[in-house]
Amino acid sequence: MSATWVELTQGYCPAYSPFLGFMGVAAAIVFSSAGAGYGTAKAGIGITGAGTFRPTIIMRALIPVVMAGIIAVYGLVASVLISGDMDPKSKYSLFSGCVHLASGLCVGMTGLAAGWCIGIVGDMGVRGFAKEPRLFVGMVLILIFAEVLGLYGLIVSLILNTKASNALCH
Amino acid sequence: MPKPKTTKTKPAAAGADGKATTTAKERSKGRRLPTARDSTEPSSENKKPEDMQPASAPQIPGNVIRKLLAFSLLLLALPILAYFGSLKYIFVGSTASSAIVAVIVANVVLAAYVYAAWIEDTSEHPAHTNTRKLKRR
Repeated sequence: MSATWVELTQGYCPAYSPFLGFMGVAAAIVFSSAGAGYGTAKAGIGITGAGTFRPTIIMRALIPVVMAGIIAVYGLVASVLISGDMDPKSKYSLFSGCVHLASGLCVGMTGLAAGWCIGIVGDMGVRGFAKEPRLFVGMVLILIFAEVLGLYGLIVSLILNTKASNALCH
Repeated sequence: MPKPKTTKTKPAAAGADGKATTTAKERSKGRRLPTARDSTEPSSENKKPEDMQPASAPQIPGNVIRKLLAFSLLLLALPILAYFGSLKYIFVGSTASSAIVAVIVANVVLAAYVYAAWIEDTSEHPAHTNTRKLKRR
């Protein structure tokens, strides 16, 4: 198929639009993993701090780490979703590229925020919970609210992803 | 809450009370919160034979390790399986609904973990509490 220079660079389905789509795929997993990594590391500091004088609370103390892992799962699901729409044999419009980039950035940056929050809350929450067991419910509630931030990003990402369309490419 | 340290209020020129300042220091030292240094440096007044033995195995019970491993594998595998399974069999072609199913499954695994941690018995074994209490005094 012979496409003109104008079509390839300035049309509705230019040649560089898959770049935007794949940047969305990368952003989804990279930023949410960065948030989950920070959450795991910071909560791990608190767990090792609390574990030196209360080693029996290990399973309860690992709840922030599990929640940070779920943030990474959100990013994984979103990037699998977006990359499922990319096909090398069919045309790919600039609109779809922008939609996929937005979708990946949504889940990635909200995952970064949620993971950051889980890390800080998990760190101090576990240290406080080791001294005062009644703090457990409060800590879990704050962690759930932090996790919901990542879930909001995933919901917006899913809604955006359904709007991608390559119908106008000829 | 530990009592505040009293060493700073005592004047340094109390030469005649050499013994008083050291006992005040020892008293305030005993009321500090345990830090990482306390466990590694054996001080002269609370060195016990059982503290000198190296830790041969981790003190975490086996069933806790098994539960942690089981939940890790579940969290690793179930959301992805749910996504691809529902994509292939239930919602053929509709990826958004499969993603929602995967997210629900991940949150169900998290809720199960929180429940398992909630009902766990966190009372310490007597062998651990004895050495720990002796160290703090």
